[in-house]
Amino acid sequence: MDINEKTLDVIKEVGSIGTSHGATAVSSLLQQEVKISLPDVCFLDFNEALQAIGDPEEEILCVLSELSGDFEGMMLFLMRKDLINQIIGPMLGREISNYEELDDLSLSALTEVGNIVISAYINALAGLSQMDIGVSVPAISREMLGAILSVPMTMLGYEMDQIMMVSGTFIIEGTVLDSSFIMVPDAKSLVKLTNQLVSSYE
Amino acid sequence: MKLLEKEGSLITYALGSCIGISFYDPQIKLASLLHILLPEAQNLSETQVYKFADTGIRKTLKELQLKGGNKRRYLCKLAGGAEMFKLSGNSPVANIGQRNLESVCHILRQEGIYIAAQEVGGNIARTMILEAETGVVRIRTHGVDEILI
Repeated sequence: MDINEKTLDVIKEVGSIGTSHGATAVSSLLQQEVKISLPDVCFLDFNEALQAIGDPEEEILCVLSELSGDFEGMMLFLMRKDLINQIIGPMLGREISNYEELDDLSLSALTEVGNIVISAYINALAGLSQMDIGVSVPAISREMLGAILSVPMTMLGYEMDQIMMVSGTFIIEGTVLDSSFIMVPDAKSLVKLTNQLVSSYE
Repeated sequence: MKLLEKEGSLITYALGSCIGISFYDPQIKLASLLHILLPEAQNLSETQVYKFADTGIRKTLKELQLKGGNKRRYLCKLAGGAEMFKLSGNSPVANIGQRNLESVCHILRQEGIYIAAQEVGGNIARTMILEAETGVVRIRTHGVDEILI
């Protein structure tokens, strides 16, 4: 895909605004200081995407929403144990050492947090780009990382061989947490988004 | 798609809705492992043939034949075709695991290949390992012991 540096900068900037909204949402929910690192934007083929994010067999928790309307794609919020404990600790007074210990209540709380982060991000994106973006009811899965990442790859499988990932890392109360979120737009929406934004920045 | 003869093993990691398809010719110990993402290629100029069940299986069978494989001897095993997220029915990827599975079975039937064993469906991810020495397939999942098929 042909994306120039200026476009990449715009996507990064939008990602950064989106994620800071997400961080504020989590912060007010947990009553803790939450920051999200400046997002990385990268274009990767499927195997590279796996390597960039870790071991394909690693078990992980993921909240996923589908995006529709003017902007189609998926938003994934990947949570590892440290972030999960930071969330369910203050909310429910629980702590887990493996993913199997997550009960229904914890899972539904985590789904909701994922939903809040994703919605905050998408609201910021929609406001900036003046696009009408729908967010589906979130779905949650705890499974192998590779299998989870194959979901957006499957969605885009017919139109492209690469996915664009906008990803960032959480920092809660000064601790860097190994969790990230990923936005995966389809090709058409990416063009729409950059047209909308790059032209207004020029 | 990966090919191997006589010894060693082939592995494909973390199959979710994707399907791992192994072919093994026991007489010459020829092994191949294919990992498909989607049920069928939508246009013929598709460069990534191995991404789709229809083009992927046919291309793999051709490659095996070039290595001296005989279709009538193949042991074919499947893993994957699960559903990772409960997505709404109008999602383009809803039930994709099931659709992949139907497409794979249909094409294998057309090619006259019998499925010797399978570990498919549900909502679990699977890693699939094919041993070239024996044709045994090992399936790794979280929370359960390794399964041999």
